[in-house]
Amino acid sequence: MSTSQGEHDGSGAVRPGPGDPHYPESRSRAYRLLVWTEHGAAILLLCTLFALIITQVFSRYVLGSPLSWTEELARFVFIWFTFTAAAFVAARRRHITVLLYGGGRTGRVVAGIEAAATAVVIVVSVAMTAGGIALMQGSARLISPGTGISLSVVYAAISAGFALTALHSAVNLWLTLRHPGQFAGRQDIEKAGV
Amino acid sequence: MTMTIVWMVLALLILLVLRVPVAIALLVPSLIYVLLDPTASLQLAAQQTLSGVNSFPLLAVPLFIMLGNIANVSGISDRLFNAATALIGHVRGSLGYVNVATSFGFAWMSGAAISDAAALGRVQVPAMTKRGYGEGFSVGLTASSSLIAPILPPSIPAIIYAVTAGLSVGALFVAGVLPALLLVTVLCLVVWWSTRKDDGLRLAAVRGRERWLPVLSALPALGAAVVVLGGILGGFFTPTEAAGIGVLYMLALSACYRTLTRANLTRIVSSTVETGGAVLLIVCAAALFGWVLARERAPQLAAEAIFSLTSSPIVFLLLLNLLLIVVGAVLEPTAAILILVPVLAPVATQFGLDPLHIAMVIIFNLMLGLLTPPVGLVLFVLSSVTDIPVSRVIRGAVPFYVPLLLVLLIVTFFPFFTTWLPGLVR
Amino acid sequence: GCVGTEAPQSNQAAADADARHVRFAHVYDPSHPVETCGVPAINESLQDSGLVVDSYPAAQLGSEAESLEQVASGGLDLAVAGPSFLGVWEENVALFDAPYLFRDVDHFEATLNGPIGDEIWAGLKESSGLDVLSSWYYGTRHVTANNEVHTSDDLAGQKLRAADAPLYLTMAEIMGGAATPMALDEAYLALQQGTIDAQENPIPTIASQKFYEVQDYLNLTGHMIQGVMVVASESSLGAFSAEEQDALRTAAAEAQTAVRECIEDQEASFLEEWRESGEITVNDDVDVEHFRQRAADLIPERFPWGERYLEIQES
Ligand code: NA
Ligand code: NA
Repeated sequence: MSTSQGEHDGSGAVRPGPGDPHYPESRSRAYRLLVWTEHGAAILLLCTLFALIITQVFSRYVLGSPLSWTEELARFVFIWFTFTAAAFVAARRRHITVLLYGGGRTGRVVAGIEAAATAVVIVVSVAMTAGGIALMQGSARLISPGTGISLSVVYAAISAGFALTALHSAVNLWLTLRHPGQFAGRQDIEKAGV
Repeated sequence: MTMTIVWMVLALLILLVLRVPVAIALLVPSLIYVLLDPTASLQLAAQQTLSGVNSFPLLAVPLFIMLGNIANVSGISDRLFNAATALIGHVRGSLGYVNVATSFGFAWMSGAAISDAAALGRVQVPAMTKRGYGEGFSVGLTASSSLIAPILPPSIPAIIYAVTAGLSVGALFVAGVLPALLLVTVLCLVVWWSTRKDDGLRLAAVRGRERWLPVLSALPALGAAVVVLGGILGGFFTPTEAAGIGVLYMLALSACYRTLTRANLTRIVSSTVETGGAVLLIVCAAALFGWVLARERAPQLAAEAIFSLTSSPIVFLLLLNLLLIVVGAVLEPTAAILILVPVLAPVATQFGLDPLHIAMVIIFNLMLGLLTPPVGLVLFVLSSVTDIPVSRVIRGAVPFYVPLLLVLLIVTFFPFFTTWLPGLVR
Repeated sequence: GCVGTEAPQSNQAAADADARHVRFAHVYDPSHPVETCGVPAINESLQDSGLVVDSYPAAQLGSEAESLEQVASGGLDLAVAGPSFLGVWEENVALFDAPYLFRDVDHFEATLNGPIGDEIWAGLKESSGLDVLSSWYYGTRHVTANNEVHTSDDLAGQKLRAADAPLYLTMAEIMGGAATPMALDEAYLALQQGTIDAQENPIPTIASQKFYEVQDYLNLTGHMIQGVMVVASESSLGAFSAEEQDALRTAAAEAQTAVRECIEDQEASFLEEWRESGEITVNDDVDVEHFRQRAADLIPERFPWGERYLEIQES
């Protein structure tokens, strides 16, 4: 469904090209493994979230005894899900972006704008990573009241998510600069937003 | 204080135009503020960003996104479409009604206009144009009917609104039922009016098995509605739990339909991770942006400004609609809710307006924004699934602004539609 | 009559343009006594100090837990938080949220402002830097249910809304119900539909959340006499001169009386209203001694501050 601009290799399959969201992954094995891990972790967290909610209902109705710890734990899993998924979305360049102009191959001007935008993403992500680390340190001795989990474990999600976002954006910046024509001006915002 | 708010909003808009992702565009001015204020720090910024998703009711969002994805991937939209065609295909303008009916059925499982447009657009628009309906009418109707999804429960904007404003998610869900039915009625009237002279726009009637089999096969899908709304109203679950149980039900149904393949499961969770990650990061960033506005006393300043303009609730509602139509045109709805609601909802309360009423007015307005350029996500999605250029999609949508605005005005000035049903439940 | 023609929440900032602004955040509604009685009382006391408090109600700047983190890091000057939230920073403080700890509001005030309070606040300050300026009476919590509650047997098998923290779970156990966590905003619908059977809150909250519409009995269990603390920190106070700090301390302490009066007025007037209207039946026949004994049996062995608990209960 993505408006992939990948190259056909004659076999009918599409090999990712620079315009494709998978392109960096198909070039580097380590990078592919990293993105794959993020994706897997986000899916695992989503399934855990689902399982926790079902467990909560099950214990209330079937076992007749409401569980007290599911709510807090589910909240923490939700926080981790958000930032892990956000990092993965950054790797695939799928964060919701307003595209008022461009489209197709509008060339170097749009590529320049996108490169600058990506640079902004990197700076912001680095700042948020630093803020997240400070938050972890500031809450090092705080323990969550329900599950007894250290809050710094929960708060680590934000630095982890933004550090990975910074990395992915750096890769994307490099690609935008290398292949300005193919990387700029994409207009698919499928599934974007609610 | 006012200056800070003005430059922050300006910076946000400029960054959006310069293709900075919405979430990051919200973070930039907030981080600059935090760095310039000696009493604030990056640590505080991180805390407020994280606080956006540190909420149990909000975790219904990814679950309801998943629910819609299951309905989409497991072919339930096709079943609904076939059922509606078998039932009402023989009347004049049938595919128009089928379009609205399918969206209405799908809306019980989906909480987002985008997912409705993506799932149904690719079926409905070609089906209609092939049968002689105009391209503009087909696209415009599909775009308008996709708005039923976020109004009828479950609704993702309603969850985000309720969490932001401290309302009951369940009550706000219920408040959306009548406005959604009103929207369905008005769209059906539009179909009737537009097709009243064209007798060619009907399909051959089908009878017996051919008629009832598609209906029977689609009927269990509506069980999701029973689980979600019935579960909440019947007091069996909280909205978050209802989302989980709804997902469980749809997974089971999908297994019965034999569409729960490994590939489909992967598509369901992958797409939930992608949409969830994108939307929730905006929630986080908007939480920080909103915190800065609160710290600069934007709610108090807005209240003073509005009260200096008028003391009439009617004038206030008109101003509110005008403001929201402008905001909806340029801002993504999630961000708009998180930024505007803390500022506007307290003012509305001081005008003596019901919080559920105001909530539906704000949500409906922002959903209209999905159909208006420059930032109209439904328009872009429809364009991408139908291969019709955005400019032609917009031309198709414009005539529908009239009936949609009519619904908005009715919802705005007759609180009955939003407060009666929740009051009955109470 | 027009709605809302008055200027909203005028504060004294306009009166003294040169005054230094103090950010004061809490999670309660703008109509709650913390805002309507506490904030004006503080500002009245601060009149000649060159300081003025700007209040941020309704969790505008964050939850109780978040505001404490902001105060600790100096990003916020003053926050209002309850003992359970302070207990995250220093476990002994949570003691003050224990059920059947105090006999009445006077006992509560004497303890928090007496030697035991001083010792515990000093411990909090030493380990976290958080500095409690004053403790305000928040209300006495009672259980609402659809039946009369005399002893813990009457709540057996009922789902009682309780936060998922050990102390609140123990509270639910003492009262006899099964603890069920639930957001306050969802509790009305949940009570009405039977997702939960009972809840416990101070009378003003029972009134503002309209729980009297969906519950049959207000049982005067009085299981918690609760306070909220006005909290500053070493880093948030560091920005103020010694005189200003003294002025803030005095103002917070002086506001204590105003808040208590407002809350007690509300409690009394709602109770009287309900007794007359019968919207919810007020049940005075609660075996408080029975619950108090259960608390004394269960609490000391479960919490590190158990001995201190018995000491206060018997004082
Ligand atoms: Na819906
Ligand atoms: Na728009």
